[in-house]
Amino acid sequence: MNVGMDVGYSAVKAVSGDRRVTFPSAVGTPDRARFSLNGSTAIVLTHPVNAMVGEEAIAQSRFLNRREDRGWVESDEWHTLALAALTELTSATVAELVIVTGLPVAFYSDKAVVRDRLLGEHKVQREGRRAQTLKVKECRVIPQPFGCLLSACLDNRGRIADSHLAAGAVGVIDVGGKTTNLLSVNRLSEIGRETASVNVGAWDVVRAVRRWLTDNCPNLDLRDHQVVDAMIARRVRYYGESVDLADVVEAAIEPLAHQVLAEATQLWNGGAALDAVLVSGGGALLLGSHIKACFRHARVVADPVFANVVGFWRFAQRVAG
Amino acid sequence: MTTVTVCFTVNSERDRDLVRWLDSLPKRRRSEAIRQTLRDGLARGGVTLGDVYQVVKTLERKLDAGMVVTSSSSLDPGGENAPADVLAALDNLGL
Repeated sequence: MNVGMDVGYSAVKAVSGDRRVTFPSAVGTPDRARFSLNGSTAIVLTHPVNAMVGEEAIAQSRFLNRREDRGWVESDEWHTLALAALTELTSATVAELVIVTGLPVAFYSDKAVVRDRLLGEHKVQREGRRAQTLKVKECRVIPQPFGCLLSACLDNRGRIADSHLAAGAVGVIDVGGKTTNLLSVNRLSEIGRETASVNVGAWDVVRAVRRWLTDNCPNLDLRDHQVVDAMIARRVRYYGESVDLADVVEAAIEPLAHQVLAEATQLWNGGAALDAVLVSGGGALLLGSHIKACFRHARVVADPVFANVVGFWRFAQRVAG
Repeated sequence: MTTVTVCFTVNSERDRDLVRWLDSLPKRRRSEAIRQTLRDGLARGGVTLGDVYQVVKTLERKLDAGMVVTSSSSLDPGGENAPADVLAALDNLGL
């Protein structure tokens, strides 16, 4: 099985063929609801650790681990999330895998750490399932935004489908949860001096909106993902009434857009030498119009949230031959 | 040594031949017959006589239609329309 996977600070995403999974990057204690009317869909690992993962971990765990630091890829939580994603993709008791994953541009020197953690045999068990042995026979770690470019220029067999883009000069702006990566590529080779990482992302907008809610809607205790839902809807329910958040969200986006574009224009000037500017990541839809206003040939790629991981998977298809 | 139970699904329309074959097996010999059939399939590298027949028929149709035969050296081995340095950069990504 060939897998594209991204274990991010805010969410885990994985793709293999038509199968795609995503869940919040949350690992908690496996406390369970006393009853459920919907049947349990919780991701609960019993080996190598006893942990509840993802959405239900946020909803039900008494103790929740969430990290946002460079040591993240060396943490037990990162490993647990990676295994949970793989068990979401397959329930096979034995599976051979080729994995392609990514790292932020600024932390790309950690690629050997990630590769070493993923390569080899992993024994994992989900609650209610038979034990699984996942044998990772090959693993490639590439700069995260490369996934977006690969999703745009490779087909599902991993072959170059858009040779113009592959042989061109392309800028990628990948607006993630905590970091925004700016990647410059010429003929599928990274241009280091035109590549950078900015320590801002969509979660900065979430935090700004949360601060506004704390000040203006006291006692409204929302979890991060509920704040994201309110941002998407541009409104929130407060004591039975609907509060309009459109202006609040736009004001929160402004500083993020300013910082990202300041870095992008410093690296690429007006972008005239680039054949295309691709915008991806969870924050792409927040910043897309701001970026287009600055780079007229910029475009938000199809399915921007999953674009990197789809690109990773397509490249995994190629690597696996 | 433990017994592992494997479940799989068949479609009553699409897999009618398999359903008929499974039904024809004696009740207490089914697992053995399925195991043997799987081993035979794996030993052949997954290529069945039916697959070979299909390939031959496809070639026959192409030759009837006047297919042009070229030497393999005149084709891009990957079938990809991209310069060699771009393909090399792609294949070395993440190494």
